[in-house]
Amino acid sequence: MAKTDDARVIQQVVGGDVNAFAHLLERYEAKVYGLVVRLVGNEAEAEDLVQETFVQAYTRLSTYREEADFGSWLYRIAYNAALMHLRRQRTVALPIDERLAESITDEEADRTLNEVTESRIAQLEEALTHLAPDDRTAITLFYLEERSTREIAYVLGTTVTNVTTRLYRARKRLSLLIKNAQ
Amino acid sequence: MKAMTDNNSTHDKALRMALQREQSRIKQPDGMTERLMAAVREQAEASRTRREKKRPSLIARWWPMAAAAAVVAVVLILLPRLTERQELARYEGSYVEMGGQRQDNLHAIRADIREALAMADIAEAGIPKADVAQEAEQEIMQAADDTELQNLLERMLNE
Repeated sequence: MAKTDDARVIQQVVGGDVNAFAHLLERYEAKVYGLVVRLVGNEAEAEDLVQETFVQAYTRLSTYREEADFGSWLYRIAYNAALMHLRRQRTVALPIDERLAESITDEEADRTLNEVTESRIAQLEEALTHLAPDDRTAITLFYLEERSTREIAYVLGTTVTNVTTRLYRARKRLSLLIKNAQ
Repeated sequence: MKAMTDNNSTHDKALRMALQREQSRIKQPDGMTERLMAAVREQAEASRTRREKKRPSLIARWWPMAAAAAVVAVVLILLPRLTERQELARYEGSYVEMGGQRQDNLHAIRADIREALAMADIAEAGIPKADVAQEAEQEIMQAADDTELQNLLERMLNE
């Protein structure tokens, strides 16, 4: 479904055709659920948050101004909902020694994140769960969803420079987490 | 700093694979789509109910318009009529006033004539007083305006 199709469906829904919203659900629910479940780490809570996301999206659909594509707009709502949920739960990410993370060289990070072995992939899966929500979101959207830094900046409500720095540091943190686990 | 603008690079293969593997393990709960759609429909229904509650009744919606129309009707239709009636009443007042003045004048003239006739020695001329008075009165009543009346009076008094 192209961006123009999203716009057409959105017009239908805003015009009162609530059933047309099902097209948007089909297209985006799995992606939004994937992001949210990564952020909160609990399937039941993730489903509640996804529901909150789509109900909010439906309610605010008439305010969507296409300043970002619809997917990014949804991710932003989902990200904020998940973040609020985590704040209420006072969930904290595993503390990472930033000085040690900074000591990881670019070459070392490249090696860690490029080594395609069963154990390395498993280590990375585990390490990903310990990243802070912002980093997890940035990493997921950049590497899995292949979103641009500009789109990620919109989702996180920050600048492109901040996203670039965040991704750079997240790679080093992942390398450090794996190094520490070994 | 490693360039982060190219997310199609071949770098970070293991990280991409880890994310993809994680993604493949994430199973969307059964029936989630239906539950989401039901929640959205429920929200739509709640929004519709709220809108209808907020919407005023037909009478409440139209009474300001009706009131405005009534004011316009008064201004456009009734007010000119009232003004017209006032003008008419004023005119009628003037007319009645004028008529009254004329009547007063007539009374005064009649009185003057009677007095003049009484003073004149008409009886000696062999003409009955009553006939003279009646004839003069008829002439007076037929007078078209005050000027003519005045002239008539002067003529009578001089005769």
